[in-house]
Amino acid sequence: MKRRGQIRESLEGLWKHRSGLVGSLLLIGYLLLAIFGPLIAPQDPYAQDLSLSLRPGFWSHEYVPPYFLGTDLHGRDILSRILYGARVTIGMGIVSVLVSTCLGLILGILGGYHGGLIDQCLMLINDVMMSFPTILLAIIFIAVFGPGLDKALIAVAFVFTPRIVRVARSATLGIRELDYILAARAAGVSTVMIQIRHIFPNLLAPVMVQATFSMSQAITTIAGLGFLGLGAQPPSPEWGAMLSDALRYLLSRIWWYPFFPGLMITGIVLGFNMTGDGLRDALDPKLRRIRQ
Amino acid sequence: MTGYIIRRIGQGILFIILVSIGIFSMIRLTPGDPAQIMAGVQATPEAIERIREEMGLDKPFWVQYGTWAKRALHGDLGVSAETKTPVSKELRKRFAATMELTAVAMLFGTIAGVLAGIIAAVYRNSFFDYASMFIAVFGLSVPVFWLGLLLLLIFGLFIPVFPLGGRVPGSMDIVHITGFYAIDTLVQGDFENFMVVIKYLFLPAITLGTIPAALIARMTRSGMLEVLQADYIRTARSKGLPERSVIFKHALRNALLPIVTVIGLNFAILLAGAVLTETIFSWPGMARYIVRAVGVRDYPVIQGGILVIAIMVLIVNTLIDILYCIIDPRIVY
Repeated sequence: MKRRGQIRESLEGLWKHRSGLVGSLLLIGYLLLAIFGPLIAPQDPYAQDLSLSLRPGFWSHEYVPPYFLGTDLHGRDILSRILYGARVTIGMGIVSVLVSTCLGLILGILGGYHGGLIDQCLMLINDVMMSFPTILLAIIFIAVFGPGLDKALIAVAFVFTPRIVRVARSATLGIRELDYILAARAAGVSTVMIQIRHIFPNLLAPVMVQATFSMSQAITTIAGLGFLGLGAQPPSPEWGAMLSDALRYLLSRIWWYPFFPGLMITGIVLGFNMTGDGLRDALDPKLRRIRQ
Repeated sequence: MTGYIIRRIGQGILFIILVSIGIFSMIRLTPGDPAQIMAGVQATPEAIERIREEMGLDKPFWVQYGTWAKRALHGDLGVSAETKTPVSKELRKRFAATMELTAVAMLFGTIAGVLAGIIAAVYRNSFFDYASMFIAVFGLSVPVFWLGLLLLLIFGLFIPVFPLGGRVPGSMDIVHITGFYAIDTLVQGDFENFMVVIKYLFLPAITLGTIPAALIARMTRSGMLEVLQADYIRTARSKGLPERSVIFKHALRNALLPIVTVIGLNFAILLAGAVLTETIFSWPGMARYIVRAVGVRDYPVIQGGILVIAIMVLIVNTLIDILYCIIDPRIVY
């Protein structure tokens, strides 16, 4: 019953919160883009036509229809690449955070509930990982396993796990001593059952908020890795990788090359951030608390 | 209090050891033979063996780590596999560059953020409030590298006010005192060069400082809002104190506390952003150096660089904690 109440509470709160609403609408938009994008893309995102290299889009008199947003260095349609790239960038972000949330929940609940030496070690490693700059940590993982989209996904999942662990653990610590948990223990409920049925549902709220913020950061990190050439590899239409090409052609004033992919990244990160704000405010009635 | 400091130092040392072991082992977990990678594709088996012995890669893990750690304590971080120059020398050169960029970005972020936050809180629900908070969320969401690219395009190319990259023009010679060019030129009274340095610093610092500015603006605003409702503020106002005194002397000081803590967190964020900012603006900094080393599997550089970063992170966090103690007299350790 607790789980349903929390989700309903958060949805209601979200509805009332202006930026949360805008954020959610943005996210729904992007979701639709990821699902249906490739279906409406006018061109093949991998099709090269070197005679049409670096052409501007609909705003310019040099526009070559139907390359609506212009072409990149290899003559590929930027609009189509953006539509296909939605799946890559968004998909990667969501999957990596889902993985880190699962991992983080397990580790956090175990550590918080059982305490002791394992918990201490966990916290030490957690704090070490969290105090490091995120993208640097991801880059180190890439240094070990090599560049590539799949490796980047694992790297990002690792990097964002500690945040979830911390949230899950502190919430577990709070719940652990409550009366109904003691009652369940006295009644002989097994530890695992307690963790699954009683502790876990009450973690959903703070973990959801943290996961939402982590998704925005994860997408930025993945795009950053793509930008540095350490994540998605060419010719993948990942948005960050599209920006890395653009840097090279900066001097030619090819502004549309970096502008649109970056705009798309900003949009979805904005969506996650605003939704996260809305969720956090909705789920925390003691709004005045200063939270990072 | 002293007990606390000792404990912190102990934790710090543990932190550094953990990080260095972590990096060390991760690099050696890499698939592929590092000796072969360093020797190159066409190397003979003898050359590979020689490199392996030189780098000590044939010895057991703990021996390798021990040797490296002992040397590191003496300041010897090894030699870059790529350029064969001493790692510590290269890092020292670039350290000041990264630090200067980070410091200026932090300065910009803090000032802009605090100001915006105060005004937003004081004129709550005004147009400025909504506008600045929206800009803040936007600033948080914008990818650093996109912002840098756009700023470069607009202010470097379309309206050519700022240079397109680098830290100083090649023709300029600066007398190195601290390695922080802004300070060096200022101290010597060399205002012309100082302006040049600032021009080169401006865009990268703004790019890098945007995220901390956004974070700090939001935090300041919510902190001020909370504090401004407190009873002692009402007392101060009813005493007839000028509003400015109420805001700055009473409210701000209390609201600032969490911001000080956040500065430590922001440092890691700044370093992360520096990786991308330095790439875009061709800033000769440490972050870019390390990223490049990762690309070419230059282990000594990666190890040395991460060690330096870990130490920096540690120092900043410890300083912040101590600062926190001093600012809030209620905290007793």
